Amino acid sequence: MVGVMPGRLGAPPRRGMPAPPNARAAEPSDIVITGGYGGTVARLEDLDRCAAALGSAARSLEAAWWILTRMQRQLDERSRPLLAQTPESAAAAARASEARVAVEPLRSGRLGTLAIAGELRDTARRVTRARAEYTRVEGFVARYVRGLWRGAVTGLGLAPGGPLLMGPAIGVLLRAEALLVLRGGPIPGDRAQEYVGALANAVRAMLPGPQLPSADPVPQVSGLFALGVRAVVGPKDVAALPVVGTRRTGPPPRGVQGLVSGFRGVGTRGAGGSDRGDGVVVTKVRRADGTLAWSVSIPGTQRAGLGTEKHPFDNLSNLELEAGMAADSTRAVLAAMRAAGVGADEPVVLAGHSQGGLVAQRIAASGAYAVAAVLTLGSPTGTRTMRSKVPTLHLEHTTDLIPTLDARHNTDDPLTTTVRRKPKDAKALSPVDAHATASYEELAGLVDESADESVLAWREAMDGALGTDGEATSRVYAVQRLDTAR
Amino acid sequence: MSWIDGCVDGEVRGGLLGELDAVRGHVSDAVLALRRALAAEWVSVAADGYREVIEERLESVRQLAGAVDRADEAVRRAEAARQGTASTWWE
Repeated sequence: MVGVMPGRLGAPPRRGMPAPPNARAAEPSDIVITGGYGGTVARLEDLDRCAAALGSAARSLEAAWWILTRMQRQLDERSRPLLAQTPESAAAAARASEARVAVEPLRSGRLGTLAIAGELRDTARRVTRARAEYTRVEGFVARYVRGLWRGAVTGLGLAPGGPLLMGPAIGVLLRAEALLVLRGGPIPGDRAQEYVGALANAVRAMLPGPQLPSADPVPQVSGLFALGVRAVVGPKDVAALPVVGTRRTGPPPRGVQGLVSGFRGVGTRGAGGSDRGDGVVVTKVRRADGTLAWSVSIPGTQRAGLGTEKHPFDNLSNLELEAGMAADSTRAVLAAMRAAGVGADEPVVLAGHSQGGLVAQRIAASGAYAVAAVLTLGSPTGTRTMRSKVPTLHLEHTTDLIPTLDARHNTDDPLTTTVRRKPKDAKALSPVDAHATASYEELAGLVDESADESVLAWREAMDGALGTDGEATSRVYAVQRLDTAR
Repeated sequence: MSWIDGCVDGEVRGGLLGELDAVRGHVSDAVLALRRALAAEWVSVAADGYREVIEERLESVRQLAGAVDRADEAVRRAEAARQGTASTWWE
């Protein structure tokens, strides 16, 4: 029997998940998803499948070519005249010769098996190259279109008297934006990012010598300020202590919303018994197979100071984190994880709000623990110092101004997925409300409903680490700077 | 329906005709691989472009079917002529 089985043949679901519909075009809410496994311009899976199909077809035709070559050899032998030629043998040789002529174009003609196999291989190679290009270009386009604007700003900074002109110009722009918002206009989240970039480039332009254009000026500027402040306040030790009475047991966190709800109603107790939400929550998950996994909820900035306060989640830590330096808040979270007994090889899922997202990314990048997935809420994670090789999901509101402080959109690569929610009524979600964990918990609920490939891939990483059953025990750790020098 | 687009039951043949059936099988496999890629769900913005490329290649492979059928006729005659010689020899 020869032939093919007709009928529609769907691609197998990826890694055990149902194949989602065209999720990017059909998100049910006002959220926009970019980057991650699903990609933005082209889903890499599509290109992989295309290249695999072309390669497989080429292999089949090459196998056919080998058989045809073998046939030609036999027909060649049969075409040769025999020494004792009879009319029948002469006729057989003539027929063999005719058959050879009929088979030859199938083997090596312009439209033969070998030529078509070559075309298929060539196309497969081009698709594979396109795949590599897409991976690169997804990040490239966003980076360099924005780089043009940054270049212009930096060019102004390089001009004589440019830095002096830039300050008043940005002041005028900010005043105009403030007036627009006061008159009922939307919160300018995207433009705020550009202003931060312009300000950072203006600061860079004041440094001695010519400053070449930078699309990512925040780490350098943050580093300059952080070094200056640290020189004044000096290095301090940090400590993390478990808070009595905060031990809770229950099921492990489920979905993105389950992780975000970890920020609700936890933290150290204030003088009046109120919940300050300023602690680090470490949750131990004993999975059904008896192995351990962990999730860590890391809070945002708690104090406005610069290294002079007890709580390490302050603005000095913000500067150090953006600069890619070791911050007291990172050391404090690592201390809490050590105190909780997190093993170096046990899978960890990190969730961070605001500054906590920066800490989570730095810990994931450090490789100190087996971080399986990172979730950030309203964190400025676009800078080069915020890259890790871990599946990362960033949640942002367009009216939340904190994620704009990096002056860059988040990177757009297969490991990094960003979900941005643009509320239909921007004024309904003020910058303060937009930054609250309660608002991000609501957004997390929408994300859990999404069938987007990138979101599903991240969920898979999270579920793979924490498991879907088992028992979780969480505890709050109070973190603080000590008076002793490091 | 051509053998390239559907299942065709047939006798198992030997000799060069059997070899040609094996060629048919490989050409069918190539068509199946390309049709499978077309039938799968595509999400990419550039999906139409890639589908077009696959459809072009599929058409090229389909054209091999006619060439295989023509070769089949010629090979069948060659085999028949050879069998005629063989029977003369035996007789």
